Amino acid sequence: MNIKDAAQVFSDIVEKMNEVSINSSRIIHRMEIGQVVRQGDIYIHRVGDSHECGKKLESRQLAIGNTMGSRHVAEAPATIYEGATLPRWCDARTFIGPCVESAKRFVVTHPEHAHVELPPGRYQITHQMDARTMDRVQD
Amino acid sequence: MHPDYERYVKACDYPGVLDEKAVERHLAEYLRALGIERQIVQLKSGWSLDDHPPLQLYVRAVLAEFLKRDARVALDALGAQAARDARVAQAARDARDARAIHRFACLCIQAYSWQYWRFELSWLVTTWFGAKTEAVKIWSQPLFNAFICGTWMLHWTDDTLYWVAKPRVHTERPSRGFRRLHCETGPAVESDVEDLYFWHGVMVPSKVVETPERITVEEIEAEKNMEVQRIMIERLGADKYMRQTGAKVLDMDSLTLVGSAPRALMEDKRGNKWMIGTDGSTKRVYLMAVPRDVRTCSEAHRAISGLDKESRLIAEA
Repeated sequence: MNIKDAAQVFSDIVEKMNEVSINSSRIIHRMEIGQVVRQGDIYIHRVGDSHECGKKLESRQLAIGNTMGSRHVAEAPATIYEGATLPRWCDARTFIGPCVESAKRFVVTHPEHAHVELPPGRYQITHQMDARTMDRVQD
Repeated sequence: MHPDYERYVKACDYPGVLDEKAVERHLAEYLRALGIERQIVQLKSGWSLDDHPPLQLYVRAVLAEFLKRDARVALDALGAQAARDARVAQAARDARDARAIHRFACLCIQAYSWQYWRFELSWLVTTWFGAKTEAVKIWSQPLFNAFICGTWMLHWTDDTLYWVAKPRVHTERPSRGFRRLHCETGPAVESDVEDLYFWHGVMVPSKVVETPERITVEEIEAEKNMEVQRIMIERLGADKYMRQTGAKVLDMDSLTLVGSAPRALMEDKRGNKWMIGTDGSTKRVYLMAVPRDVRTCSEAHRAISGLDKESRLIAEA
């Protein structure tokens, strides 16, 4: 493909995105261990009950920062822990986030992304990485 | 509810009222409560360091400290929000020209001060609501009143307490979520210290709003904040960007999840690889840097997500 194709592909993606994009909540009825949901630049991994969580946190925010992009929030009744270990299916360089646990269904909210409603269980958060810095994506 | 709560809420709608004499009266009371002596000076639009020797001394002292420390550590200390503007600090350190030093002074006052503290009053004055002891009430009430009368932030030097009036702000209210800063024709925060530019809630360099045609490929690729980079491409024009980078398409597919749009893997003329991906709920398109050795969209996504296989993904938003 030539250079013009690249611009055309970009334009096609934008057009298709406008057709298929929906902002209504993603309601996950069932999530097996090892399955993953993405909300923006965070990945929410369903992990087993023996997955190490670390210390309990007061904050409900799942990404560090004070920008709008970082306001991924696990709402009550979920409890947030600092996160101690990556799920075994993640590359060792993956940027780890907090761990979330809830005995009841709970929602991960965000001011811009669609909310995600998840079944009870334990979840590990990881962050999308920037290949240039191998650090968490900044937004 | 605290009897002053409604006044506070009203005062948070910037710029609101500005009663300069009342501000200075309340700040004098605040200083007396603290047992500190300072001149009280308003920093007005158009100020220069030459007109404010105490501020100039302060900024020179901070710059001297920069020279003593590792620049990277110093820039980090300014905090994430200031990181972009911290390049100005680097420029000041290198160039030492008056304009760069002025911008550095703006950064010190308006972003984060040298020692991490920040006297942005909407936050600090809430102390008044929870003040239980006389020792706290005596300083928090006059400070609260200074905020009500129009003070936005304070800046301390050895002999002067500078104060800045609340800025004029331009906002939009998206269909979902809170009011956010946005202006398509100029600064979204018109501040007496330094104007700030926002695009749908994201702080961006001024040229992104005012002269987007002058954004360069190098600037886009050097930008580490993905939201800012996305906006820079949008403002320059994706078509123009692709043409200028000499991008060619290596792969294209789709995850086929609810809300998922197609994605593509691109390589520019320097061999850098980028994945064009979308958010299924925000209608945003991102250009994500991916490792040079990936050959497909799936490999690229696995590299930046850390996942061993993409089939683990059951939904995205």
